[in-house]
Amino acid sequence: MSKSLKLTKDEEKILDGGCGEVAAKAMKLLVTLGEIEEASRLVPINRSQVAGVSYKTAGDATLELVESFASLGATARTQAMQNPAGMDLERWRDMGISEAFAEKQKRICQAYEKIGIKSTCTCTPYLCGNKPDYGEIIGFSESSAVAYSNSVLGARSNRHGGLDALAAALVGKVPLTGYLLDENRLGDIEVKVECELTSEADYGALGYFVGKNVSMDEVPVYPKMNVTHDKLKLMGAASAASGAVALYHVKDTTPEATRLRDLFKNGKPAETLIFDEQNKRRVYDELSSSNKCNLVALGCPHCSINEIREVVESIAGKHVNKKTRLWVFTSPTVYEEADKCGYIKKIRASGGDVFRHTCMVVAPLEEMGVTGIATNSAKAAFYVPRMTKNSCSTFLSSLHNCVSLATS
Amino acid sequence: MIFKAKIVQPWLNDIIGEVLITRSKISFLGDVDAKTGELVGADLDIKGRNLTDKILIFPEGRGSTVGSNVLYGLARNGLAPKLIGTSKIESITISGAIFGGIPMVSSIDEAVFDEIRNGDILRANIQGSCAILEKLEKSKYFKKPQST
Repeated sequence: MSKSLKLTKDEEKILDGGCGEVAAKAMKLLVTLGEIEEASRLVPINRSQVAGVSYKTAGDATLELVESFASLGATARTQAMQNPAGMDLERWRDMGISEAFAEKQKRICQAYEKIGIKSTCTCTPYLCGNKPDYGEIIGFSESSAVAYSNSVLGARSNRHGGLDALAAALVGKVPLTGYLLDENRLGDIEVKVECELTSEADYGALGYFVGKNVSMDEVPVYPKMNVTHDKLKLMGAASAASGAVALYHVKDTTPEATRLRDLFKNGKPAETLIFDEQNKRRVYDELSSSNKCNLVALGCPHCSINEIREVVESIAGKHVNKKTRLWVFTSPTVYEEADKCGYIKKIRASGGDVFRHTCMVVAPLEEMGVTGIATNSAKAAFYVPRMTKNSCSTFLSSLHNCVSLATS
Repeated sequence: MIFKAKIVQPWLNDIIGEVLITRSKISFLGDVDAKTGELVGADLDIKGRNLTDKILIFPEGRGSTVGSNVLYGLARNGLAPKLIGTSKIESITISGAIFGGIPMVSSIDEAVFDEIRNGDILRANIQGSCAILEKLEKSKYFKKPQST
């Protein structure tokens, strides 16, 4: 193990318990990580995103851990937000969540809240007031938020686990390593797209393919594409689900790609990946098991205001059929904006619903009677069968097609 | 046959255990049933096997950052692997292993993926600043039933 990690006097004091038991435990984890990763020092952060919030995914172990941290008086030193919970924190009954689940879920959120990690419960903190600046070093978990912050915003985060993001929030520091360093942010793999990308789901399929085929320390470089940030949100989330892509560049589009003279390490790509019609077909086949669904689920990652507007436009003049639920998932912040725009009312009037704080991946679908979902998110289509022991089928298609399925 | 690795979470006594090995990337969220330790990811070649008490070796993680919390939960519920070995250094797995007290190594010799199969027996011990994994003959590990 490298002993090159230098700590300041203040950091030594935290490690030795001078700032409390929990801070010492958190510092111990960061120091161990820093030593293994051969970091030279720790660097300060002002923003955190902490995963491990849904009771379904984090369970009793994390609940008890965070409650014990709270009872020992731990406090976050950063602007820190919680990842999605397993339910809408207010309207959970309307989702068909049990009292038992709700009680545990509330305890987790309250425990995080008590240590200063806010119950915003979204995977899109960058749309909700915790948007990092270009070049800013942050300590995020939530794989999709890491990919978005690094790639679309040009901020700098490693792919922290829920626990090390929590530790980093409590200490206000992260080890200086990995994607925080210039030399690791250059491209490795050139992606060539040899098929048409039409809907946003196609961009997710592309991300899914790339994530499967690159290693966690390789940076893929996509060709110049005419994409919105919303499509990149879906693409990055997919490549951080099938794989571990923390950072990608899109030529002439994402901020670092437009600033860097040479996009690749050693001046040229180590490998080229080709995404063609056949590869696209394979992804859709892998992520779709049946088009029989009783839930159309949109909002993984949480919908932006524009994505909610697209739902409203797509559903106009139609009504959700009796066999299907159409649910949109978003953050409380975007929900408020959508409400002011009249979108929530319109979606509800068409028989759909909009929930906050949660999504189809981290809600307990099995106990909610969901047996099949249709979604435009490759990330969700990857996780849902795994999270439900295959009791829930998936269908990956465009937002427009998904809405049609629910309204035909 | 020995394989060197970097120590992530040290242990005291030699660890001897049956190997569960894959070249696939693993997400502890989704690919592993947190209540049983069973591998459930549809595209995994070790699907259907259980990681509890095994020496689990895989190249790198994928997917969810909640993986660290799931791994910690497996440890708290007595379902953790005996030892985790990875090729890449990745904080999601490492922080779960550290909080969960699961012995772990990383940067493991790549040859392990060619030479070691599921069900093989490895002994892991610490020699200086390095971890050494050694393949044991199964016949030496499984004591033959005494003939009467």
